[in-house]
Amino acid sequence: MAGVRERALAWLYHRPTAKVWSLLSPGILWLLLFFLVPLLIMFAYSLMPRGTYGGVEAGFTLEHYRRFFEKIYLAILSRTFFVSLLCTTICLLLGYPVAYVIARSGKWKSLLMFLVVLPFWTSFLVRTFAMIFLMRDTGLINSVLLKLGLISHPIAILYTPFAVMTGLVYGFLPFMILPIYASLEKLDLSLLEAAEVLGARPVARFWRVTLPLSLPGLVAGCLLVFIPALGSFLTSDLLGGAKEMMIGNLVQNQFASARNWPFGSAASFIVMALVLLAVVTYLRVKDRAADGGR
Amino acid sequence: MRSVDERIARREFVHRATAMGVGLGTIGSLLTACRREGPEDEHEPLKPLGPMEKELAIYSWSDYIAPTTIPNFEKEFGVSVTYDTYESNEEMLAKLQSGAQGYDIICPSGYAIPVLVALGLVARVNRAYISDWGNIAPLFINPVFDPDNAHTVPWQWGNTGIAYRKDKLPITPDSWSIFHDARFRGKMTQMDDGRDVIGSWLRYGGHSLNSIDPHDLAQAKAEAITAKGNLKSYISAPVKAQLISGDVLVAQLYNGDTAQARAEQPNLDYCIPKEGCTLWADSLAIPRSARHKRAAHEYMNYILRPRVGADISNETGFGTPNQAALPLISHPVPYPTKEELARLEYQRDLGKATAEWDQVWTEIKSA
Repeated sequence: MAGVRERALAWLYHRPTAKVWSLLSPGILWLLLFFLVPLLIMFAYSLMPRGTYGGVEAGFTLEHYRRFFEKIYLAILSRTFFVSLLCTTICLLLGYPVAYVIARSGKWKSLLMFLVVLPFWTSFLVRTFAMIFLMRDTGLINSVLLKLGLISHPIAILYTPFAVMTGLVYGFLPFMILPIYASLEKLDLSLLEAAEVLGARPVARFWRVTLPLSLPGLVAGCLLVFIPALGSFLTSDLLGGAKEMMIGNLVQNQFASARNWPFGSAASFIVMALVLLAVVTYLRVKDRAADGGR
Repeated sequence: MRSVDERIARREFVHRATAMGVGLGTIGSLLTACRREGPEDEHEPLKPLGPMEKELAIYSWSDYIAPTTIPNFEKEFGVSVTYDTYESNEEMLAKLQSGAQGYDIICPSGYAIPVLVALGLVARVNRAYISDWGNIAPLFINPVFDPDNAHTVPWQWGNTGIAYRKDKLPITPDSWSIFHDARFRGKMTQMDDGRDVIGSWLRYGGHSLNSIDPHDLAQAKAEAITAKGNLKSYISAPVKAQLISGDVLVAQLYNGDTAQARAEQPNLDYCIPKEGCTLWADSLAIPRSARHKRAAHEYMNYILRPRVGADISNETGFGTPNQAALPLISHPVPYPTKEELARLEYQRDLGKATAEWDQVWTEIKSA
């Protein structure tokens, strides 16, 4: 048996390509089976007539794609994009300084990073419910403000767009901090010293050295926040009082109460296509900017 | 810090991969969804069941059973029971439809039963094993949603009316029009369910809550949108906590949930609006894919015992369809009077019109 093992290893040793493939194949198989195949099924479903009780019936139709371009669904789509963009912007403005401070905090680094990932110990659902108790009229925030005499009536926090945005930013902030931190942490401090020696002031050092070098982390962070924000539906239901729809709610409804799986599939595909387009465009622009700067 | 970097890389990858599939969550299960079975042959004679199994898998709603129901059943019958939960009929339906196996008992609402039967997902009940059949109240014999009770045994029943805080309202609500009253703006909620919201405004307009007439629906939509301006949120059973705390004063809610909340907040009251509202009954059914059909039948028979049925209703606050259990009901469940009963209407499955209803619901939510 040992002979077989040694021969197999020797065979792989002489064939680097085969070695790479044998290492990659479990991952590739996994993705093929659980990502590509469902994606293809979904695409096929999006082109078939809906079954009365869910599922699909045999046939071909572009109706679901056409229907998505009705005014009401486009309004939901643009609203979702706006909310996701705003959430990404706020996460960036809040997350960058945090990541910056942590990356420069020396021996506290590990502890601070630990605190950033600490919320993941509890499920997002539970944390969202906890926010309801903070925000509601008789909740902690209003009670404290009332006790302090700062307000005379409870202010409406829960079930407002503000509550939804707070919930989204809270949930996704770590995904902004982590990649930015990673790129800032690797930043070669001697470059900053060189800039200082060459006469750059702190502001110029940040804009012309630190920020460009942390750009990969920043882009990764923005994508990691923007894309899941687009698909979120829990936050707007629980903290927004389900009074408005995000695209995620629409898709979820199609697979549940509306029993319109093909329309849900078509909506998902359109959103995916738009995200892909946005990401590709963004990366292109960024590459061109990098080339231009060289 | 390598480990953190690695974690970031992994997280980044996982999130790129998952984020790509916005809304892909349910798709994985669709792999098996292509397989279709027709409805069961209704004329084929029922076969006798095998010996009692050692396991029973229940798939039902959360907070919808007494704490003693299952342990006592396990002890008496030597069966090990698992209890999984769902939050909507559609969730349960989608799961069974996508080929989920291993459940022996489900608890569909009336309107979901014809769908389950049409899709061939539920087995017929073999009455030979239900010796306590005679305990079922006449209202639930031969119901519209399951002629001749061929597939179901009734579990609990109730209605979806208006719960309110009588200590904080200057008036006593008796109509859906309360939701048009701007005095209580921001203090009222309706269910987060298109069937319930649109249904309430259809009844308000004098129509059936199962109407699929576009004019009726357009009228109901307009009423619903007017009411939405006064609503704090669309929220279903979890509104109980806010009724108790006083954040919400008026809520469209089930009678049983109102009874549950009243245990903590005696100032809660409940009304069946004069225009009428939903009457519903949830029943036990056995999926055709069930592996423990004998245990499932024994369970159905077990819940028809007076003591067991009463314990369940005393816990849930909903009505028991078990008339033998009525004398043992200890806390005041608001059973509708005969006159109120006449104003209640069962929800029926909307069939193809489900898509139009969903469009109306989306329009209300986007308004």
